[in-house]
Amino acid sequence: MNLHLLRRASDASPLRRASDGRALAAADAAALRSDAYIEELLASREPTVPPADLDPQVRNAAELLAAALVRFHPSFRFEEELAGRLRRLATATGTGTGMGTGSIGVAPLDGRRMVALRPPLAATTSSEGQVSGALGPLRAAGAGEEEIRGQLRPRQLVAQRQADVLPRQVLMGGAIASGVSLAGMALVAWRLGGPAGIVRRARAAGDTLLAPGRAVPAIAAIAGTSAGEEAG
Amino acid sequence: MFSSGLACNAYTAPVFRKGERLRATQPVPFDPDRPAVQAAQRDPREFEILYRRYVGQVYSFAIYELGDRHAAEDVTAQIFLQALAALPRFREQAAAASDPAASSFRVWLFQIARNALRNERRRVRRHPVAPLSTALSLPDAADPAVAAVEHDAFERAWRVIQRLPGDRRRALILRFVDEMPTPQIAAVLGRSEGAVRVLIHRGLRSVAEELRRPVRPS
Repeated sequence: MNLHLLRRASDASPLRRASDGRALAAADAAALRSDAYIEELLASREPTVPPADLDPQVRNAAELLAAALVRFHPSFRFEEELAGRLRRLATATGTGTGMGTGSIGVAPLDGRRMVALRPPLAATTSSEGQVSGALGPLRAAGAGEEEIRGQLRPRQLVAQRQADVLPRQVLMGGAIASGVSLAGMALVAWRLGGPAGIVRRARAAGDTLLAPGRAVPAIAAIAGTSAGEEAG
Repeated sequence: MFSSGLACNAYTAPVFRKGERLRATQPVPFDPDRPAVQAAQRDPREFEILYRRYVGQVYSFAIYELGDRHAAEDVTAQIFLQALAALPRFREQAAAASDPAASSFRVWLFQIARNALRNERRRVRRHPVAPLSTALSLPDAADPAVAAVEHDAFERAWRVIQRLPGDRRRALILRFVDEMPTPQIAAVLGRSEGAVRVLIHRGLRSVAEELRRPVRPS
């Protein structure tokens, strides 16, 4: 390989190299003239006066290609279908709903409340291909998540949820309210029958323990049952 | 028109000329796709603007490269899905400063297209699913684009273009069909501008030679 290169380098005389350089420069100049003519041709959309030093064959070829090589446009159906696919992908990427992955995403509704939505969004497809649910027609029409959300107002969405469209919905705000309610109920229960009752029973048990031979009723009193019940 | 902090980086660049110390700064050419690209990078749903702008060009490139309408549709879909997925990683490069109409997003998109089409052509060559004559058949003569020009001229040009070798054919398609300027073609094909000019010039000479040959009945 190296020997070959060395031989070639030594064979190339300065005269030959100069002629090669001139040929390259001539080719470059011809390519530049062609490029300038093509630019003019494409800009004017019709055959223009060619430069005198342009090869007529090249000029004819350029004119043929400029006139005959038309631009194709995809069918409307294909274009819209691909636009829909891109929109769905963009929605999944943009909002992070994990569409199509089967995970649960969280979509903001009115800025404060967050509702977890299941990806199928009210549309379940049966084995026969029937699309059920209130959003079925939208789904069946091939509407994307964004379009479906666009069709719904928050109230409608909640109504959808109440109509058992979303089987395992989670309301975060509701969960907090439920937590507060449960805590309140626990407090009330504790206040009514909790420590006061226990103290009362403990005192009673202490009194009974002081009496000789009454150990079992005392234990029963602490456990919350009366001596009579224990005996019965 | 633009919100603050957007598209404001490197609008001006120092220009050095021989014999001058430093001229006043000149604006770097504005990429017409820049606002749309930035919007799409913030919100991928905005990608539709770019899609609508370039779907015809990419599809045309695909149909001239593959010669089959369905294959062209498949590859076009693949190209745009790939571009959308890769868009967050796209960074504009000021490589097209010599051309005021240059769009580096366009170059980037066509680079994706070139790779996808090259893979598709390779796949079709290795695993042909249809006879070559069918795969390289002419587009439907009823196509409005074809009907708009003289059919014979189109047929001749089509057959000649299909016979050209790889980059020579691509350079001519990008130049004449997509009307891409030479610097952009150079960026798409990964060659210098001079090399692309020579490619186009030689491609035209090849076309002229093919046109001189007598037409053989197929």
